[in-house]
Amino acid sequence: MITLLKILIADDEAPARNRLRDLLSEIQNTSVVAEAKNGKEAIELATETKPDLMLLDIRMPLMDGLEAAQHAQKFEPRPNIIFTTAYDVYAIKAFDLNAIDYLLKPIRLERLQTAIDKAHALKPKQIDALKPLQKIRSHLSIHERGRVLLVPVDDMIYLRAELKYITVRTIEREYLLEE
Amino acid sequence: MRKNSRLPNLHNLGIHLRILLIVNLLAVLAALLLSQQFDEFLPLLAELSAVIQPIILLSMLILYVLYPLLSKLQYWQGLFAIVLLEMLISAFVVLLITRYFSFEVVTIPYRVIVLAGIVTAIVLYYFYLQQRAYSPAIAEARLQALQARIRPHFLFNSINAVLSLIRSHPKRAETALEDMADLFRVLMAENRELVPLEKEIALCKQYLSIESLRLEDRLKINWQLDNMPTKALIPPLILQPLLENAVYHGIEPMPEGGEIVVAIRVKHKELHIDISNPYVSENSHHSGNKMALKNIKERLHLHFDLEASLNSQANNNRYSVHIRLPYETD
Repeated sequence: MITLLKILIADDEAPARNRLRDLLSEIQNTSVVAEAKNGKEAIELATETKPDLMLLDIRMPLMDGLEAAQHAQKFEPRPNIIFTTAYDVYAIKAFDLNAIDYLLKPIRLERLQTAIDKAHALKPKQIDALKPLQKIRSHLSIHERGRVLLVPVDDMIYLRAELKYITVRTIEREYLLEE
Repeated sequence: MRKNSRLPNLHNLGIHLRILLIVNLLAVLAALLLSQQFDEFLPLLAELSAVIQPIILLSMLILYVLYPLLSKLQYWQGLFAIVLLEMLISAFVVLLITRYFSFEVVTIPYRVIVLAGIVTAIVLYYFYLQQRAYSPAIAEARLQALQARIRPHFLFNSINAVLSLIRSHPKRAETALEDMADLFRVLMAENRELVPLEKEIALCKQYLSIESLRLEDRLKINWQLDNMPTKALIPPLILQPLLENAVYHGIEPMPEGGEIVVAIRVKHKELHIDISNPYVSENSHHSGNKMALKNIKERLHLHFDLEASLNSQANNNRYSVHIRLPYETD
């Protein structure tokens, strides 16, 4: 039986998403399960659709692709991640240093095909390497009953350390943070 | 070789010609000062020349040969080496000449050596000043280079957007490519002359229509041009880079997009241009923003000196740029 590769696309620009979808329609055994307009939406949709692969644009409003990739590491099973970017000198330099796969826009069909063929999950070490590229984190991700919740840093009132856990307090409720 | 050294290019004929001229002028000056009466002047000058010319010719030859070596030194080391070299050469020539001839003026060799050092320093100072005088031309060339630089981010994203249109909306893709061609024609042209305001506005509208392909209804523009003098002359590419900044820093980071306001009016014989965009302080501002502003400021200064100004400020979640320049028409 051929397994279908479930793919999530995240890009804030509709034409860029359309283009990726067009290209993916020409690659066998792939199916686009979700399209997100920013990193936050990508994580939320990924919780529902459990994609095998996430194609993340780097520069997105609300939450960028780098932060989304970091939160996605908590999913079980962990999705593969490929970054897409138009032009970002610093990011490209960092990627070259750490050999993380990324696609340069405009993306070619053949290039996308090879990336999907060899798609492999980022190793935790590689995720750490992305940290210096990131702005200050906009969200904390909280693992709860098999789901990943995103809590905006702006909404937090306080953090309380309790033995090995940290309690995050917002107006609505409390969360347990395991980071 | 020339690039890494600030020393005058000693392989250049013009430089040698100038050296000849300056040194001989100084010789004339010396002869004038030394001669008590006018009929002493010419014989004195001839005598001085007899010593100076061999020194200059020998120096030029030696400097020409040694230039590749000298230019590898640091600037001050090079200067020092040249002065020392000249003193050695003049010492050698004076010793050689006084052996065979006797001159009134060069009875004391050390005097000639010190004078040679001073004259060399004067010549080198002249070249230093000349270099400084030429640097505005270099600055202008740099400005030209800066001006032509469009954000690569914009180029690749636009191409990507056009590619996505080709299958579904071939007509729109066509228009988009035409707009891009027009935009790049202006960006790559030598933009020295002032252009009518309406031309710059037309260019901005083409640029924004390309951007709205990918940003769609996130990008909203509010043009306030009712009192705009269409024939007013402004330096080209003053508005477009500011709009590019507004899109990059004000619209792209917003999930719902926002509105860019462009207002242009004339007041007291002055043209006022205001551009504002939404702004969130937590977004890291790239240095590219400041570079574009600095570049426009410099160009305004070049065209209008103190009669033009550019100010920018951020408040109430909006970032605004104000340009003031003299109202000129043909």
